[in-house]
Amino acid sequence: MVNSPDVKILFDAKERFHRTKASMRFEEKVKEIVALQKIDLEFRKQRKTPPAPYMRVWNIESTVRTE
Amino acid sequence: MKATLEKLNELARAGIMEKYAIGGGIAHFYYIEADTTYDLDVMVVMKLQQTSLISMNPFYEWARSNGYEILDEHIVIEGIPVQFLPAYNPLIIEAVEQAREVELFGIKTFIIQPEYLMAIMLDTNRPKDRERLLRFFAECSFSQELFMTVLQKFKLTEKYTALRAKYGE
Repeated sequence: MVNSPDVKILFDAKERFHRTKASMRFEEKVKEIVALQKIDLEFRKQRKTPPAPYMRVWNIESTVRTE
Repeated sequence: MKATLEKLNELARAGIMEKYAIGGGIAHFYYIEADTTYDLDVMVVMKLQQTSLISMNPFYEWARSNGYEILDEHIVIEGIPVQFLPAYNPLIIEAVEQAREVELFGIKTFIIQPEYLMAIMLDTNRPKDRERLLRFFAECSFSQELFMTVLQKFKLTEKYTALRAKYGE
């Protein structure tokens, strides 16, 4: 089954998808990480597994300066 | 994140760390598909590292004096939990020294080269490292020549051979 041509087409497409994601600009990847953090924290809430204190959604827009 | 990266450079300018480079998950995701992570690992080479005990206290003192929240070993710098980790072995020291200068969010910073990240993963060899390392082989453009040079220099060739035998990479 895994060796069938149809499955190979699906696997190849999946591989291409991951390669495309890997080649995204870093700034776009950071936006994805923030989206993943939101999903992960929601899942943890549903599973009742509290996150560690540092596990929070990043504020990537911060422009605060203390200099 | 721009402000966080600016602060890393400020720490270097202040002499709190001699050299730094982004490592860990964020460095991995610079080269491969992004996944969930919550912290920014910063590998640091400290002054006098060769001759004295390494203390990370200056980072926490800097955090307190600048009003940054400290969560266990993390310092939340401009919205992002940052963990400063001393370069604790010769491989990581060289990885930091040879780090690639890049511009992220318009800020100059340093990120460990993929060949060194791969060697570090091979060295630490946790299940997560093995999974990530396989993704590097599939998704990242890297120099096979540099990778092999690093493996030979830090005596990791056997571990690499074992990994290839197990996963066919």
